[in-house]
Amino acid sequence: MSIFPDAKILYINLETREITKRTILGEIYRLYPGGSSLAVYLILEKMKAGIDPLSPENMLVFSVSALTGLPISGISRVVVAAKSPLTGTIGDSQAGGFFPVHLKSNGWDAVVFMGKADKPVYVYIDGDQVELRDAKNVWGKVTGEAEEIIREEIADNNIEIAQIGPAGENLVKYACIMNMCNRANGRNGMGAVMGSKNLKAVVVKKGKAMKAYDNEGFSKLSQSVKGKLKENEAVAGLGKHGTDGDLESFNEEGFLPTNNWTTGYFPEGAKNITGTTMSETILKERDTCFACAVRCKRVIEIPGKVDPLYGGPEYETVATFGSYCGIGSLEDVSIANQLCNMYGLDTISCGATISFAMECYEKGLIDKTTTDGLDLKFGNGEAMLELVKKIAKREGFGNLLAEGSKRAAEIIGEEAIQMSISVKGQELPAHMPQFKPAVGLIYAVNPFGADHQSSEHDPFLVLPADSRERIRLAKIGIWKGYDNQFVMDDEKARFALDSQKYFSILDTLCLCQFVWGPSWELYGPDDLVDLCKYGIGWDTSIFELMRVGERRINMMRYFNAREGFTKEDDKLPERVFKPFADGPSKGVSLDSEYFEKAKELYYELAGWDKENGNPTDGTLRKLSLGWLIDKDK
Amino acid sequence: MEIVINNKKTSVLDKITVSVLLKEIGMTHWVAVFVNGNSILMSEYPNYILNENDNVKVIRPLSGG
Repeated sequence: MSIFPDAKILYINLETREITKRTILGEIYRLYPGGSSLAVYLILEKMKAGIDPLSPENMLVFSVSALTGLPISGISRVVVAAKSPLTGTIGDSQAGGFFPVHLKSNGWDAVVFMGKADKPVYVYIDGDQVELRDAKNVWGKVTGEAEEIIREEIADNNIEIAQIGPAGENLVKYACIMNMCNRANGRNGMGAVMGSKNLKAVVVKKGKAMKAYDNEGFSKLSQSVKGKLKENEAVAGLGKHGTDGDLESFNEEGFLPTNNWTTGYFPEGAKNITGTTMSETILKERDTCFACAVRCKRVIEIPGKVDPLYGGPEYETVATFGSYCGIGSLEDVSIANQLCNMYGLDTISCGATISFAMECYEKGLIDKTTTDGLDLKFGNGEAMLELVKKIAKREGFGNLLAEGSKRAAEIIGEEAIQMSISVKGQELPAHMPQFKPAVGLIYAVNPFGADHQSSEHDPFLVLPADSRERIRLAKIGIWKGYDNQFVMDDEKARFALDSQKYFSILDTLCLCQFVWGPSWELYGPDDLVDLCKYGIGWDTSIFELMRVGERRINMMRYFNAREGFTKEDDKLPERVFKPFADGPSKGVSLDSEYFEKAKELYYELAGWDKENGNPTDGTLRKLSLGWLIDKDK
Repeated sequence: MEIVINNKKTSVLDKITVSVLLKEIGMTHWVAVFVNGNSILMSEYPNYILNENDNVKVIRPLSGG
């Protein structure tokens, strides 16, 4: 008998309508126990290198994990992975809600979509029964309308729906996948891949939560949540003011990306759009994901303008549509968030691409003849909102911006390229590398472009050695503290890599990064080992889990190497190396020399080739990935 | 007595502890405190007494998401 559960994989070929089921034995599943690790394993097994991400050859994988479905906080996350049309790298995105746990309750650890349907369809999964249904009534509809129609057609309210909006249908390179109309598999354009397959939605019948392997141990862990929440100021703050709670503080430090990252200071608008203002004005309620006590999701309402169905903006969304665009109106930001959730657009790339266009306009690289008459000055909320719709519909100037800022810059011209604040074509989230250099390092080397949720953030290393955060970090070998967050030295590079491995465990096991993490989060490394043991009888260790995390990163990097990516693609935008001209951070920049040294050290520590920055054969074999070398020889 | 908090001269009560100071400036214990460049352990906050002209740096970690 296996000591690790088997994985059940569902393959749906949309072209042939063939449906096949596969079991991966526990001893193999244990190496890739879910999330993007399992997804990339399935992709690398079958998919050739060099395919067009929007062609039928791309494989689109929805995956959960061996733990998904256990009744505990932070457990309901789904990964969607495929080759990304935005970056050309492996694509990876996560979302919460209730869809993930119900995908698992139908018995599936992953669903793999192959080929392209000859006409729009949606898939309905009810246990072993899989039905491809005609999507003609929902194709072209925004998410709220489509959700309603699908519920009527299936005549059962006991379902969860993950779907694309018109942006995905129109192949916008950063289209996302929405569930509940307010949870997004946001980044990397997975919605466009879904659209390219004529797949409108994945619908799952609701089922039951999973029973724990050791009920007594598991209950102790799950019931400790109340006490942990009470004593954890960071997580309690997320519940109270959402992820946007610190926006004003970033501004006070001078590190709130503003006017397309030309400054870190937004004194005229930051207070209006910060999380406390949201709580005091338009917040209707706090929403939650399956079994989660944190309740960090915002639900806002502006009568006649913003419908609570579409949730509320996160920090990244407020920053990209707010300060990035020089817009200090919470109403405009909220409407932009709603439009993105209706049309199915990644809010980060969408807001950042619009702010890129605004800078091009302000600097005279484009004018009203290009922008369809829009006066694209920083601060023009009306123009920003119009542009979101144009992007989703690929109308006029929106068609160019639907390609993302990097491709748009290449068409606008040489001078525009430095204004695309992106890595590997993916726009930077709202955490400035000048303030968080280790996060900046991960932005550069991360396999799927700039991402703020792929490693721990620098500021926690300033806390005292006896803080919960430092005690937990020490358990994964991160021992050094700092008297400020700006330092980038050898130990910081190791912090970046080791915490990246830890976050990679979370994206493998499909755990929420606000609840499970290596420092400030609700549950720490010891709790994670207990979760595996009591939850599914997996008697593991931090060592094995770190290997799991490292394996995922290396598989992704290997995928990219097959596509021709090298360390030359691991570059931050030049702007972050130039000193700020104003605000509290005046004169501060990221030191390019130290940064390059740290990056070289990172490659060495990761066991990647010094010349090309890709995993060596030795590293792959260390991680039981020798089959990749043998297969692709 | 006078001390310097985050580069700003401030008058505080004599023999003030780090804990009381944090309360007075509206901060919780979930911060880093450096006195004359030395990191103070969180367990020391209630009893660590500040002296005249001490240079105090208080940092609240910022993450966002």
